Amino acid sequence: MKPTARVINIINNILLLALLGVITGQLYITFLKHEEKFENPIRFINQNYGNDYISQYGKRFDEIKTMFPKPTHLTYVGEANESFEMGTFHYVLTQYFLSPNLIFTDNTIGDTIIYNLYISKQLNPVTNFHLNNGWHVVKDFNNGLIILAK
Amino acid sequence: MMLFFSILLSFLLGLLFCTFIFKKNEDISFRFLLNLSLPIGIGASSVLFISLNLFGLPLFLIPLIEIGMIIFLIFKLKKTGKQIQSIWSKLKKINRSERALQNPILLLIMGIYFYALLINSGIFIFESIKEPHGLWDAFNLWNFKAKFIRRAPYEWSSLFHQMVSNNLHLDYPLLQTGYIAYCWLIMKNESVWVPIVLSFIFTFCTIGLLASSVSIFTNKIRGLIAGLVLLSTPFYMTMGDSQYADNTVGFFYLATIILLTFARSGPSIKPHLLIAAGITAGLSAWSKNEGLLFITCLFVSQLTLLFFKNYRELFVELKFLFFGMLPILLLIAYYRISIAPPNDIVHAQGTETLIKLSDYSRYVTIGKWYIAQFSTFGQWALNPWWLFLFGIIYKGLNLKENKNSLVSTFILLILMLTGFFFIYLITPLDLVFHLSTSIHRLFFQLFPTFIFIYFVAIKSKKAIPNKSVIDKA
Repeated sequence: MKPTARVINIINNILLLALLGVITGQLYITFLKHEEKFENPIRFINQNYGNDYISQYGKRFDEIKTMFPKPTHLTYVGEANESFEMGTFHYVLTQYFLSPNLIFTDNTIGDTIIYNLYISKQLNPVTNFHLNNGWHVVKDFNNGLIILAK
Repeated sequence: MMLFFSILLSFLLGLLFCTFIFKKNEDISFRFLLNLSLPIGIGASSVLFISLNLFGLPLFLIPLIEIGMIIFLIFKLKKTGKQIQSIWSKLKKINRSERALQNPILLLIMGIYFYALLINSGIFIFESIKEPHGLWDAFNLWNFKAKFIRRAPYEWSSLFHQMVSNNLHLDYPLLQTGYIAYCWLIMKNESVWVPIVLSFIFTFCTIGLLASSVSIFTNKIRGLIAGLVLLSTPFYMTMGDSQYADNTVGFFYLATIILLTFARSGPSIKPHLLIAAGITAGLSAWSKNEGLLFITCLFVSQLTLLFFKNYRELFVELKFLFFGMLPILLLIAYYRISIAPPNDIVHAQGTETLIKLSDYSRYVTIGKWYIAQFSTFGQWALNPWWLFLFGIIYKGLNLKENKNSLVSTFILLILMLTGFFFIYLITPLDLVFHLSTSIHRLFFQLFPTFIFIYFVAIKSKKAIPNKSVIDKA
């Protein structure tokens, strides 16, 4: 092999090994981040399977789903003074679990209203706008979900 | 069991189609065929399901039609005979890789590759168990709409239009949604494993397709390293297990470019491969709205080839490409015109667009985010991109083979980045919010295609150890 070819060969191998070094280093760091899961995968699965926030949140809707066998228009009301992000998050989850019902958040008040009071859980009959303006509670699911109708 | 059945149907559909488009003389491996077939089959099943459902066909007929298509393709292949043989010859090629074991460097890289596959598969499963509904876009967009279609299979098309919330993005196309809903309807339940398995397929088939196609165009070492770069990029797996559609659309971008490269690798036009590239480009637009930008940029980028080839030949190529994507584009057009509410970005355009376009500070903000992406891309602990740059400077580019495909793909990537830049300029959303929630994902859609053209374009020095062995492998 000519000296120039030998030099090229060495540089090629250095370049390859440098890239492989960066890759294996990164793989090791990635592994370290998840090491606990790999050490005891069965325990991790037992602890986490079905216990995630959204699956748990969805259990609140099991009963209410049976109330609407056909797609229904519902007006959504969340917690008073909730932030935009929290409001959107809880609205989206409500729509996710109650589809194919059409759930509206705009100011057009429909006849049927769904309250999602994920913190306060209960309506205040004295101060609540809807209860004092012709709506009545159809069903309170005792988990913050309440259906009102005119 | 039924999930396995529906995936098997899609796989067979994709496999038979891909066998049909790759004639016996195409030098492809079974690994390549497998990684290409499954996502194409899934895309085809999604298109078929939504189209037939919109025609009002009873649901039980749809899998039967799929089975009918599979039987038709088998008979068609049996008639020509050669293609079936070619599958088996490809299967036999796997044994040839035994020769690769003689090369220690190749053996080392293969070891790292399989270790990375194992680690990342594990991470994908762990994260999916932790968040089985996926992250925000998954449950807010794709899985939500799938639930909607599954629960109201004959009414969803009339109900979608009535939904007004901007958060739900009902104008987004339905590849992922349609396939999840289809599987759920066959299974008669809404198992969270369907979107998980779907994301797993697209995430790992992209890696497999990248590695096997670079192997075909260059050599096995390069193929494995290309796959490793994608596999080791931490954020790539996060995108997969979050069930976002960016890996899906990224797969179809990559498949389109690979099929185009194959189509142009010989002296004559290969219409079947150009039509297949058109289909995968169409499926990218059926995956995400960015796919429509991809199709536009794809056609524009092909015009640069006027410098290298006869315009008549180019026109014929583009014609086949367009024919391939036409049925899917018609479905997308019907969906957007008749079913989906208008797109929030397009709908919000008006006089403010001009003001935004003339706002210098928006260019600066987006430019800064672009530059930041290049330095922090992929969440690597030690940024490997300087090695990529060094590779180009030291080795140079080889544009002798696949020149047309490499040049047009490079232009395509530049056009896509410019297109994204323009979308950010006119976005009605808060600019920084929009950039912070999407720019990394948009870059990631192009990442597998970038890796592909990088490894195919870079020059190969003859002094690579035992090259003859590698080439044979």
